[in-house]
Amino acid sequence: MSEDQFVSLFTEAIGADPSAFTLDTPLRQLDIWDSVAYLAVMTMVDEHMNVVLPPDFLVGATTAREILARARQG
Amino acid sequence: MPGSSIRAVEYTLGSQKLSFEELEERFGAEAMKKVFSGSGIRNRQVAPPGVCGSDLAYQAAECLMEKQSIDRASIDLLIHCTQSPDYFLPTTACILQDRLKLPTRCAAFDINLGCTQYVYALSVAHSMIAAGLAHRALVLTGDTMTQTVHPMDRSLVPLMGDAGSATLVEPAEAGQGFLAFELGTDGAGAQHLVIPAGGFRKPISAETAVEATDAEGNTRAPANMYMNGAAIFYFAISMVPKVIAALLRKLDVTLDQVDCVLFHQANRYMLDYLVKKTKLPPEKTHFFVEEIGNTSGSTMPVVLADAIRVGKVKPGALVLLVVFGVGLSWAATAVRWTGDAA
Repeated sequence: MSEDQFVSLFTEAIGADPSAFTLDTPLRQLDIWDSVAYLAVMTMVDEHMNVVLPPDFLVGATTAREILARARQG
Repeated sequence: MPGSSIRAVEYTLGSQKLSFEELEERFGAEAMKKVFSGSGIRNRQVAPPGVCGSDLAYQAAECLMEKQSIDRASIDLLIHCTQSPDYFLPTTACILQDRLKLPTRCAAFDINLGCTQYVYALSVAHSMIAAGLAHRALVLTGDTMTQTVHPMDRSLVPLMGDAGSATLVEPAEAGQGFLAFELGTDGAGAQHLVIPAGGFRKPISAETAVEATDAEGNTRAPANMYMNGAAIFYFAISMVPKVIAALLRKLDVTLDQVDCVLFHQANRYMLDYLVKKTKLPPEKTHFFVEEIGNTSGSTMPVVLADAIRVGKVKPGALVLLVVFGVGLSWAATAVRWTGDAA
């Protein structure tokens, strides 16, 4: 999956504005980065990359780039 | 070895409605809109203070025995499933044996499991009937877990309801009724869904009543139920497809040959994703949480009874019952349905 595709799916999943979001946007600065968002990202990554990311990792992740890198590792 | 099957299922819901509008006032409209869009739970039925899980189980059992014209003297096994017992001791099943006027030769005991209690209890009833230790079993569930939730815990209050149920299990011909079970446990996740205080490990004290509010605004004390929703979700979507696959292997059938798969009714978001992930046609499952909430271990008998009512479970159907949750624990069974039709 390309970085652009990931950003598109990621922002759709958590309900963020894609025009104001990059792989390096600090997730913890987003009001919407909460437990509901963790579930949305978990399902998005599982559905599109066939990887179920552990919640502890998602809670600790600071950017979407970190999440993409982990998902690509499988 | 003789088999066994479910003859009939009845349930009783908590009598008080806790509405979406009430929770909008408590938690705010925006928060509840978000919760509802994920959980699919609009209203919930909760038991009022003073009503125990055993009261709900008792009402369901009385309803079942009346509708099925059951001779109480014929019941020789009572399994009561609860995590909200009347007392630490005696076991609540003993109280229910007397209250239901079942014979003193009836074996009676509790199973202390949560979301998976029903299928575990069915596996025990099935095994005891197969072993000749029982002939007619009453499997009861009853919990009032809403009473363990802090009223300002937004992560749990909007999800939870209370219910009790009663199921009659009787001998069946080979190839009918229960065909296989798949049971499992991962206690390493015990801390993800827990009431930390109130047992012998951490007795109730002034310290356990101290409330704290987490980063998402949920207030609770150690004596209240806590759920790490993301961890439970991770567990469910990782484990449930494997459990279904293992059960299908035992039966040597494919999902195409299954008529209906019923899941623990945790929340709509999780159930929709499990259906998608397992590639189950949505019409082959049933959701029944929107107006009652997640009633812990009673959700499976409640959704089963409703699936029977709407005709999704009917005689001859191959039905899977799949439950998962607190423990962490999981259980699944395959049933060739012989019980009541709608």
